[in-house]
Amino acid sequence: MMPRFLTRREMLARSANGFGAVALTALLAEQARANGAKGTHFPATAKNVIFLYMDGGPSQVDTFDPKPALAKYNGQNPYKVLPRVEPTQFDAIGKVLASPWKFRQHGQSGLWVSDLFPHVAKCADDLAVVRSAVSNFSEHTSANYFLHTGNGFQGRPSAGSWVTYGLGSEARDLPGFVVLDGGLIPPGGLDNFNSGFLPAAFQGSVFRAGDPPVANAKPLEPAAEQTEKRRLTRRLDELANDRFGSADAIEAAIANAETAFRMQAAVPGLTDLSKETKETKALYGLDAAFEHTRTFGRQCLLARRLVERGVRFVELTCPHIAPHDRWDQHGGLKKGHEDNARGVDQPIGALLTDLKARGLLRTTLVFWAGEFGRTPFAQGSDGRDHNPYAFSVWFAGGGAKGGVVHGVTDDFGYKVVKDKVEMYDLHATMLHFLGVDHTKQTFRFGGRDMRLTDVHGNVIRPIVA
Amino acid sequence: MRFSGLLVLLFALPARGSDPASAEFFETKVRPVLHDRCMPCHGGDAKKTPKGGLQLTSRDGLIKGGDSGPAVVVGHPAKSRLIEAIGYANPDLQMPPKGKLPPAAVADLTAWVKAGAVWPKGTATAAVAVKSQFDLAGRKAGHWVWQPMRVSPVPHVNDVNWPRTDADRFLLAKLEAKGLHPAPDADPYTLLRRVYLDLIGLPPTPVEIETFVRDSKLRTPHAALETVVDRLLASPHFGERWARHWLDLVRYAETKGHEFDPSIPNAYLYRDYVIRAFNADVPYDTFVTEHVAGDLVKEPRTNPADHSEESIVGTAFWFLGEEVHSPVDIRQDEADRFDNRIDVFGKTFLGLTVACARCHDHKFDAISAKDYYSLFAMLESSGYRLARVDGRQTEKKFRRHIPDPAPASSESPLPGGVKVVVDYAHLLPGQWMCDGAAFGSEPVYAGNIWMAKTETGFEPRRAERTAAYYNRAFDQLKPSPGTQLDPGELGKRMWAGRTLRTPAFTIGPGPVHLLVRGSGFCYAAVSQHSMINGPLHGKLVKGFSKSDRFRWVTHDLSNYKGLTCHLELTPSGDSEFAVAAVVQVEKPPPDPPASNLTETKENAAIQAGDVRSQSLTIRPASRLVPAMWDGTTVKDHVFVRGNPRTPGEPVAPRFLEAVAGTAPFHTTGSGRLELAKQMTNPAITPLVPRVMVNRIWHHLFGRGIVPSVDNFGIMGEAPTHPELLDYLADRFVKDGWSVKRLIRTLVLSRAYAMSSAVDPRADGADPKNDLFHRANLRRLDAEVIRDSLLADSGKLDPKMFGPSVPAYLTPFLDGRGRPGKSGPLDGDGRRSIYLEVRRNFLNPFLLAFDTPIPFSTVGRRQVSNVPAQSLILMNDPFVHEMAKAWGKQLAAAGTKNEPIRTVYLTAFGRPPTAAEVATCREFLGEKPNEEHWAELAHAVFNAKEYIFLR
Repeated sequence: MMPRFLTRREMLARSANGFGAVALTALLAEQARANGAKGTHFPATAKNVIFLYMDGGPSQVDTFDPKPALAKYNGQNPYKVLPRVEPTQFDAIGKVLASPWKFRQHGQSGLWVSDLFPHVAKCADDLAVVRSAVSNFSEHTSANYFLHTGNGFQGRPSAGSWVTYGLGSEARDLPGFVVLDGGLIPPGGLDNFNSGFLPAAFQGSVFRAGDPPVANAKPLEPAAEQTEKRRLTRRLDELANDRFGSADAIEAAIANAETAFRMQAAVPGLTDLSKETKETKALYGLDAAFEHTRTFGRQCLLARRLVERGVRFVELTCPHIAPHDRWDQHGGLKKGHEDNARGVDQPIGALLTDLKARGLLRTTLVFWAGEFGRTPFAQGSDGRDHNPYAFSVWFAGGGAKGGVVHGVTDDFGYKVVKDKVEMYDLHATMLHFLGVDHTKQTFRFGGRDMRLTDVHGNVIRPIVA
Repeated sequence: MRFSGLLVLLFALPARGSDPASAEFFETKVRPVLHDRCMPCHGGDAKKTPKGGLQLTSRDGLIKGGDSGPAVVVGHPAKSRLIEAIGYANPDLQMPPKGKLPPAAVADLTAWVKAGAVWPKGTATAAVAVKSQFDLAGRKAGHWVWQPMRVSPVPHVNDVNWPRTDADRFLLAKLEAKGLHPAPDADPYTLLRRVYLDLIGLPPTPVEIETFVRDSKLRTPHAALETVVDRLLASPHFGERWARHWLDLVRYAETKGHEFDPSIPNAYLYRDYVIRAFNADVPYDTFVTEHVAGDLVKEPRTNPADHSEESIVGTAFWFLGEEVHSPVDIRQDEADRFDNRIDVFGKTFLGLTVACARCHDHKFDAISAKDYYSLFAMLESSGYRLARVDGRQTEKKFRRHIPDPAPASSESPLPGGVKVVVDYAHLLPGQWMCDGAAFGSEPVYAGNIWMAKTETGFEPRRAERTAAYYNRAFDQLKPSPGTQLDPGELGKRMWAGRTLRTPAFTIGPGPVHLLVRGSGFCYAAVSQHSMINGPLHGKLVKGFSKSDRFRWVTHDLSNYKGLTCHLELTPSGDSEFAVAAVVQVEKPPPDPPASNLTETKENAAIQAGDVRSQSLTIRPASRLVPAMWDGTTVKDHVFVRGNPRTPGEPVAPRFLEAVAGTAPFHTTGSGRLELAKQMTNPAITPLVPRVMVNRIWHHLFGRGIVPSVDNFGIMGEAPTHPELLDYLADRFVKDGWSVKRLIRTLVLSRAYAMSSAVDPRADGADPKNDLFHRANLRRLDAEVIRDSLLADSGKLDPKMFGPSVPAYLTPFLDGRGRPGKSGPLDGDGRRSIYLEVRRNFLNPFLLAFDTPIPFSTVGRRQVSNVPAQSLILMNDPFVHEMAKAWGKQLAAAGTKNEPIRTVYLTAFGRPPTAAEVATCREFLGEKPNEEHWAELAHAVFNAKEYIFLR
């Protein structure tokens, strides 16, 4: 944490920390260039991260972790067939519930994917599926904070903040950490993307579908008027400069105003999709019949464009597919998961395909995860409650092995039996792909050297190519 | 570009902790490796000799070495066996035997040996694996913060003309020792703006500026300043400014965050309390006591304006954290909630990271895990309630249950074989706990009289058995209009002022049974969880319907077996209510036989009249504030590795061992009042005054004497002027803990009045301004920037206090719990401290300018420099609106009275130069209209001088 006073030297350090930018990061880009690979501890395989956040917790046993035993014991009392049933959020434990979807093997690797994800399945050979993820929390908000920040409570920096803090960004006129809001800000709110005790510079900037896509990036007056005003401000700053004894703090503040000005121009260019080909648009599902496929398709396409512009960390939140409450199917599993998958499957498949075709998948780590999984037994009759004891996530690109599965769950997909992967391990692995040793990336706060992985974390070596 | 040049420079600077000769390098890179990887075998303790005779717990141990000679030759890694061993090159000497250290650790240890094997004095590492090795006494002896205040004489200085106060002399003595001079005095314009923004957080008006400058010439600048300072200290705005500093410490917010961001009911009452306390200059020891134990003080302070109780409001700070509405693991949730409370408590008042001792003894400071869990037990022995602040004092005087001469009846005893939680016929000390006076001051004993309410009034009845009887005169209690209630189930009933609390107990075996009469509700506060808002814990509230005789009611808490709990009982408000006992047993005991006591008319008139007249004095409506409620002492255990499921040593409530020893508090409750007494007794510990004095210094001088204001521990930063710190702390205590008088002395010092201009020579000798050779240049706080925009545009509404202005919601502020309606863009022109703080919808303007996220104590804000700040000042509609409002005023004022001078005085607190006037005139053109003026105003808001303080 930095002191409040602004000596020349402290100001320099501070400016450096200002370079991530709540909104934009041209200065950071300059830092990164001036600085080469300072942020990495060893050669990176990934330069960027796209985090596909599946809000609400998709069911592992209906997506990437096939469990024939569920069909066998369908309708039976879980207390009789499971060794131990843990308390659940809604305390309405029903019968063992078979998956309504078929699982098939895909690609050269023969990776198992359920029929919920036909498009993603086509990229099976690019996926490293971790079936043994666990969380410490059964409640959305705590689990969201945990997934995003490595801690179950408000106030810690988001993974995207840690990454931009450590590596900076190569985007000149855009923030280093962008959240593309598909319509659902997850439980826990914007603090999932906040910089916590890291400088405000490393907050995630939320981009929305509307105009302007990012807060305060659109002038409220004609360009000429703004330019004239800016000229005056600059002149007033010059005239007053001597009073500050040419303090670096002031110069840094002036420089960031210039960046902000450039940002205003960069944002419209980013969201203007008119130059994308018809094929590309179709690939992402921008012409799909289902509205939410179009929404998420646009998000995925924007994610690629952000990565092309050097944005370090892009997170996508899900579209709001009424009447379902995210992936959180406490009831109506079949229709709910089907609609959710319909919204995101084609766009995600397109993103992987497109990144690969452009040679970007090699250096872009795509991470797909919810905050926890779901119970193999029903909540009520046709839903599934939260399950933090086992769930599936996957990585693709950026140095992750393709077509592999890591970790094993029990016959019901309820609990992990082999190669348990904690949130800390997922974060450690993400940082590893980026060339960062998670034990070394620290920030002093409240008397401790804080880490994204706290005092935990092991890189999941078997999925590292 | 000049800037890129600076950037290159920047990367040449060593990162924090990367100097291998620094103590920090040792603490972060070396000690952990030695501790974790070497000391399991080379630690040594009473039971175990270190392997090979080599003990790596101290520098001496390393140099002395073991059976094969010295482990380290200082400055020569190549000659050091330690480095050889970890290098793994010699097949006969490879350590650690189980696996090579990471290359970085090898490099770090090598660099450390080469740089002189720096090991801070007196910080030998405690040997691992055996708990007795945590050397509390050694740590306490080895760090300044645990030592008593040492009041040094005011030092002699050569330049006797410069200092004005003793603080000046302390500073000057150090400067002179380095051959440095203090910076010249700041010009009066700069000084006035500084003192306004520091003391009240609002800029001076042009008239105030001109008056001050004139007065400075007429008398002396110092005399003029003295007048201004006294006026500002007496201004109600003073409290608003300094309360905001305080709110940063207690992670002030008005919602609980988490999934649905529900309200912390009426948190604003606490904010107002803090503002009033700073304005009234409440002695800081009183203020601290009220925070820790305001519910327990013998003679609570009242607000002279409305006679409401003040002291209890202080305890609201414990409850301003995040809360989970329906945790699946309620015990873990308690551990997390309390961790935040202990963290905030430790940092705010003691400047210590007590919460670092949650999973193990503190890694660096003299704080054990036992200390942490003793405070944890203290919180377990307390509890939450929404307390009435109005009418408490009157109600406290209530006399109830006049003993009646009638012979006591023989009541049937409780059945055998039950586990008694409470038996009101046989109360133990400390078991009578009730919020408000509705149950009087003791039970009504069998055969004595209680008053029943009938259609015609109050009628005396004989108590068929000893029980806590509710006085229906309190049926009229209600929340004041606009008062928020608890979210969820609890908020559906009126608990405040008429709730009975049982002793704490461990749940099970068997359900809980209550022997009750009449109708009411019972809430089981399991693990102090108080937010009944989810499916899982809905079952914790149990209602029971009318009955005119005592009968057993069952509350099944079997889901929570083994957890600590207490019950809160409240009447339904439309019937009698009495509680005789609470027990735990498998099957409900048989109901006692119906009463054979006849009703009585004895003393009827007196009794009924008494109740009636009492009931007239009750103030029915009250505001409600989150507050502490003391329970019975709960003893718990250390959680080994922070895990509630692995209990270690037993603990009882007490303060830190290093401060007050290991004796538990003498109490039947939490002991918080005793804690407050220990904390505020400088003979026991100087922490509280030191920490506060340092905070005040930090806010006035831009950096604390201890720069890490929330952490005075080993990992904090050392004081630059320790003698000054103790001198001020001592003076603070002797001056009645007066915050205002301390501030007054400091702002009237010569040091405060220094210029911030950089003198290259002095800057070279003292580049970080460690010696305070000049004033520090500061970026304004977020709230000051927003309040200045309002003030300068004439849009500031100076109204004080009251419920917050609802948060303004941009489309970017989305998520669960988003209020249905946005608040006004300009926050109704109110000062920023009155804007609602919703945890999940934090104000983007304030956040961008570094108002902290309310999760823990932040005594020293970040100062970031990010383009979002510029974007806000350029494009935020609020800023535009302020510019327009000001433009309108300026246009209306006309061009006669040097309007550009007015602009400069208003915005920057100084007159413009000729060049500045010319530039502005040129921009405005010949006949400027409202819009032109608004554009000028907007450009001025974007000038850097607007957001910086020289």
